[in-house]
Amino acid sequence: MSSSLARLAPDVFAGIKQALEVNVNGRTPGFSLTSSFNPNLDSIADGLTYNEPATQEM
Amino acid sequence: MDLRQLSKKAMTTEGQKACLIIDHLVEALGGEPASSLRRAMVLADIDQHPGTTQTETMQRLGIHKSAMNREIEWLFNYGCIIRQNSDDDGRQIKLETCGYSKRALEAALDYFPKRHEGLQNFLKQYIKVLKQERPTLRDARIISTLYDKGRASKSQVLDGLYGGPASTDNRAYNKLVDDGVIEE
Repeated sequence: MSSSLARLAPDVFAGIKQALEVNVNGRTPGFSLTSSFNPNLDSIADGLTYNEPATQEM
Repeated sequence: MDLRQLSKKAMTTEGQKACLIIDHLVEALGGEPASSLRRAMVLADIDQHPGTTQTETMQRLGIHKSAMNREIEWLFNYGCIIRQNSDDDGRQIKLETCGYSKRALEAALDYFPKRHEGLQNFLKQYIKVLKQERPTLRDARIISTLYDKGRASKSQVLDGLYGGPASTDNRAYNKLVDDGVIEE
């Protein structure tokens, strides 16, 4: 028996990951709180403008 | 789901969850890892729609009639489902999951917030990635083990299977390599 290490083809790995994230963990595809996406919040904030919240009439 | 089950699942990695789901499905299908993922979908559909007919399940899953006949016969012979004559229409036979099969399926469903819908989508995705005409639960367990381990030797992967004939396990593994599902 071969002692070399095997792995899943990348598309298969991605397919299983999606099957688990969407159906078992209930996450939206392509979005993960544990992903390595780490935006520079300051640069995003620079592009935002603050709008005064609308007053809700009773 | 009780607290013990919840804590067990919280401490389980995603790959381990996939392995456990497949193991529960094997248990639900008479301990037969040679069962197809399609058969698991038929069982899950009947469980989701107790009292359904063969024709209704066939239409929902888009399975050909002759294939469906074989699956229903198999499920009945292995004690996974019961068949009852309909009170309304004597020609109709109503189907329901039962006994050990229903209990094991329930254990698998515990992993899916959307229950049967989630399990069906999970199985469809596995069928898609396995790239075979009739992928089995054994195939699904092999790729789940590799997903969990990242990289592993063939013997490490096959050790996680169900103690069947080594030649059968080897053949299934080699087919997945030939199909490009596993890279060595």
